[in-house]
Amino acid sequence: MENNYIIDLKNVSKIFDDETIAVDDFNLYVRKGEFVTFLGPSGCGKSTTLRMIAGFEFPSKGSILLNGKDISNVPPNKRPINMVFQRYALFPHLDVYENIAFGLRLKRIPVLKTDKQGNKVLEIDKKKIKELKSEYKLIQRNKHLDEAEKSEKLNGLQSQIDYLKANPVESYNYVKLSEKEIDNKVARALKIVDLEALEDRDISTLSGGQQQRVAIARAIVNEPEILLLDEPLGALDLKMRKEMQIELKEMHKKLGITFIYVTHDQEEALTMSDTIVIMKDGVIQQIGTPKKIYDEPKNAFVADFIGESNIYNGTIVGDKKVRFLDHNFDCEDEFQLNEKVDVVVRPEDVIISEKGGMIEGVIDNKIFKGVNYQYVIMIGKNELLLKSTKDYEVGTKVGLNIEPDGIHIMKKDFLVNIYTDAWIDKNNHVMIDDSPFDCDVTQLLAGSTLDEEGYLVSADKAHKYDLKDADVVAEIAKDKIEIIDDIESEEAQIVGSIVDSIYIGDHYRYIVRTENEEDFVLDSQYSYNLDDKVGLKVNKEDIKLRLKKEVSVYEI
Amino acid sequence: MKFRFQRKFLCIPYWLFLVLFVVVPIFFIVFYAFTDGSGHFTWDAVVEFFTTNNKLNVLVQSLLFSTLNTILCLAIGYPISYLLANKKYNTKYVLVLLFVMPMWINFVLRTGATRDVLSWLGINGGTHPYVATMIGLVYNYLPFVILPLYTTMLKLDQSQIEAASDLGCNRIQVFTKSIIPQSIPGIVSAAQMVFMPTMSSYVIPETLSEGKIVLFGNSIYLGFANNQWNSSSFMAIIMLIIIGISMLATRNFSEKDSGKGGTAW
Repeated sequence: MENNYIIDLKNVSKIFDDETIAVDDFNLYVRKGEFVTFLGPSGCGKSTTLRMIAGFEFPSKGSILLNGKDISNVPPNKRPINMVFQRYALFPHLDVYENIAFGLRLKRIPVLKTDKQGNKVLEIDKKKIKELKSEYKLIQRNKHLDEAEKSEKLNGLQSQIDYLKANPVESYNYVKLSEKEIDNKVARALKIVDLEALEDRDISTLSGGQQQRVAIARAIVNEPEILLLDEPLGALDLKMRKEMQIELKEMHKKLGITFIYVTHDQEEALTMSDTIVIMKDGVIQQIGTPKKIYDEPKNAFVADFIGESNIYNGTIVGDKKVRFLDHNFDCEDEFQLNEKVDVVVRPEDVIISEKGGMIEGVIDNKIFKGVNYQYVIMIGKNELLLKSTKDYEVGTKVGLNIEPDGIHIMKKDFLVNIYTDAWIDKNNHVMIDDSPFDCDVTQLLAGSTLDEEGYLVSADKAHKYDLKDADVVAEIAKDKIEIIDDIESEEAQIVGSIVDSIYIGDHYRYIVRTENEEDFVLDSQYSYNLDDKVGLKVNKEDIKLRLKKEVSVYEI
Repeated sequence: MKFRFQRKFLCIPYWLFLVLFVVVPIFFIVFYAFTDGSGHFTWDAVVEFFTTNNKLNVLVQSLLFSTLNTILCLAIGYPISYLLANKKYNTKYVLVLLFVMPMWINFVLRTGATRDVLSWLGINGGTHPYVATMIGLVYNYLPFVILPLYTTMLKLDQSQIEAASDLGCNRIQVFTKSIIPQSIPGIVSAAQMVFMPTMSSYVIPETLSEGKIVLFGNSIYLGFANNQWNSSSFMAIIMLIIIGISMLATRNFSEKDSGKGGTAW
């Protein structure tokens, strides 16, 4: 392999219990010595990905290459990768020294086997064959791989096994590290984490920060090629966390090991990483340097997750011109004319002045933040968050300017909800996610009407159609779905819980997920909390239908 | 003076209980152990115990039975509780109940039934007293091992197990270096639940060996039944001392992880 990727994840997916997709088609390569952070809200699959790299989970699909070699199904103890666990996972029955020496005591150093004359002894590598065979069985049992990929992998393994069986190779004796070597290595690791004096202490007598350091020492003492860190600072208080962030970064520089770091704290990710991978629902949203992700978020989710931001609905009104907040702004991105877009403006990119500006607003709220003030400004019914060192009173009318490079335009990720597996029931309702919605089926055939028995009659009265069980594609624009608070009421056609919300200027964008895992994306003025149970209502005329088959199929 | 209720009065019932059911009985045991029939101080019981082969034999035999029973129960109970506590193999608490249920059936009845089943299988108390007694002991004390071990196993720290394999342990090493050390509190309390009760067990050896095997408990009972109060009292003291020693020996483990693991029992 000509590239210097230390680890390369190719189309990796992880499916739990045959249904829950934790990680979906994950592609990422990491260069040697890089500090990569997986960032995302809880449940986004970042930890699962890390655990697949560590070897605690095996990917359902795809492969993980370490230095170009497939390690997808290699158990964790055979990987040159060590992990720092979220709750440290230190061994309470061992003291600090023995905790750190744990990996070293298990380590066996290969020593070339020679006969009495000093010649190399050639033997069939039975151990390796055994390992390959168990890997073979594991792949054989995997239900998620498609047949082609499976047989390709199996054939590869089989030919490796056959080769090893036929060709004796230099064999090795495996010897333990000596006590002295272990001693030296532990001492060095303790020095790196600044814990020299504590080697005889019991784990239970250490503070959280000290336990954290022991956990790091225990991992790095094995000199892994990759160090995995699973939210290692989550259990520390703020001050301690900041200190450890700096120390970890230092350690990374000093050791030169590749770090893969998992966190849900965007600030931590921004300060420490060379590369950030933002994930949501098992899917990578964006990969890039911290600066790039902050300055050029790819979509509204990334913009909302990384840093504070104002997000608005905009329309492209000309060459490098975008309209939002009732004003045409110059911008740097080129999009199609009249395209609906999401516009992101960072609070620090808005310039405030009393003399007037491109747009005007009234200060609605002001919070002193130490270095600056944070204002909420009402522009019409839109809110704008901005930070400034200047001091204004609440209620002041101010002018606002935004430079072209402060406006980030992103393709709208979502306009309409499309349900491809909807169908019409006998009452001419459209069934979406097993719930009936009142709809206008006459739109399926231009000029048609419904007769008393509920059959569709064509415009010239010559044909009659029975649409019962007809498969249709239903579309509902996201601003046409209404939230009903009372889930018991008749108006609520379907009930689900809010799984996602983003604030966009003057309204929220929610994703409501039903029990059957169908998602409804919608806009609403009102604020709801995550996990709130809500009912949804859609007006009859707002459901657009399209038959999957020709209408003539349903003629009677 | 008017009576005023003080909080410390609340401990009076417990104090009374302690005196009546702990201090006084122990006092009587000690009193009888070092006196003769007419109430005069004597070392007779002590001398008799340590010079009679018969009684020392019973002590050694009881210790052997207890040790073997503890080892067998742990050897059988440990894998069972590991599987029961593992969600991969067992998702229902019912299975755990099935293993523990025999505990709730009347002890004497159960032992009688065991005797009949064993003699039906050809392991007659008359011909195979040792085997029959051992089977009876293991069967009776297995639930006492499974429950504390099960509660400990439920609390196994999965990330410690993963850490062990991450640091280079293969499956067997994970077991010996992480799972066993983590379950030590459970093992200790399980052993405590089996070892001493076995020594003093009376019904099981009596019923299953048809009186051929005499454990310490039987011996004490026989003594009292034959009006040898003084020597039996001294044997009871020996028993107390052994309990005390075993408690001291295992104190380290239970102290370190108090509240963790099998101490729920």
